[in-house]
Amino acid sequence: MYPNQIDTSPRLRRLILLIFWVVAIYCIYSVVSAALIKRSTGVLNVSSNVIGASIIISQDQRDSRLAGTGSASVRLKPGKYQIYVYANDYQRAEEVTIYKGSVIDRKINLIGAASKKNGNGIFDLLPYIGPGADYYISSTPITEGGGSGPSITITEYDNKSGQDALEWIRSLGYDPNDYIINHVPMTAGNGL
Amino acid sequence: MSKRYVYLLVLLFVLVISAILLNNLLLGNAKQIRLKAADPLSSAVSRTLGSSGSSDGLAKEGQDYTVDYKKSFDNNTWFVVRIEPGSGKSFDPGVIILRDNHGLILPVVGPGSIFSKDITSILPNDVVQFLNDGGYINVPESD
Repeated sequence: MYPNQIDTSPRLRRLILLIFWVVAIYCIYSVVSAALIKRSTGVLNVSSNVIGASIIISQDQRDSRLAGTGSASVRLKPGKYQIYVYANDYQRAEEVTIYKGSVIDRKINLIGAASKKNGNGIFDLLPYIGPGADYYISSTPITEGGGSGPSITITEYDNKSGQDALEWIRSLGYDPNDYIINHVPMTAGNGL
Repeated sequence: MSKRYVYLLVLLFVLVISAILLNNLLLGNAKQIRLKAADPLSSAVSRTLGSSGSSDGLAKEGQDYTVDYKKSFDNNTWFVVRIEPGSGKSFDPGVIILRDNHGLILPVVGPGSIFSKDITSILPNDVVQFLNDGGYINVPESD
């Protein structure tokens, strides 16, 4: 035995060697898998103007995952995804396509939610009946037992009256793309 | 313990640190998300419920809530889903009305167990009829 050696039993030596190889193989595996993930995925960066807004990623026929709040950065396999942003009673959804190696930045603003401290924006002006009662613009009320909306519903006589309703929204300085808008054809049941 | 084993331990430490650094360098702070196969309506319900009832991400079907029934209207454009909270969960049972807006399924009303009559103006007649029949629309009593 050399002076700088402490007697180590063969069992302990074998254990140390085993631990070394297990950890070494795991380290190599994690680096290789990270490289493969980087090659096979794209990055989606999502941010919102509302701190605390829930950012949820979903895909057709697949479940939804909370990616983060306020902002999120996720790696996704190539494909078409839906981004949902929820804050208080406001929501907005967009679709995005991810490619291998792509880096996509999306800023999804909840205009209504951001302006809520100064009133409810366009929602304060609803319901609104268009000229000639060709369209009717209403908001989804906040419901008991939880919230959804408010989204905008345009009950329209035809396509042109639907476009007129959108034009009315634009004339007030609001962008229809900032809202969830449901178009409902005017029928005997819901007409004016 | 021989010097050989000390070198081995130092090498192991360097290897672990290098692996962590390389992982961060390759992937940054973007975590990978894998989405499991799921029913699109259940997925929409989980989004609507948010993290209520679940401490880890969104509410999960079968764990945080169960679906009593799903009914579709207008060629799968409108949906009424009735949910029950899972055991020990705080939210109320009720219905959620969802709409497929060009592939994006969004909550329109709910969750709730009784709704104001105002919502009938924004829902199709068959959905209103269904909610009426189920007693989900609050009809003010006339004197």
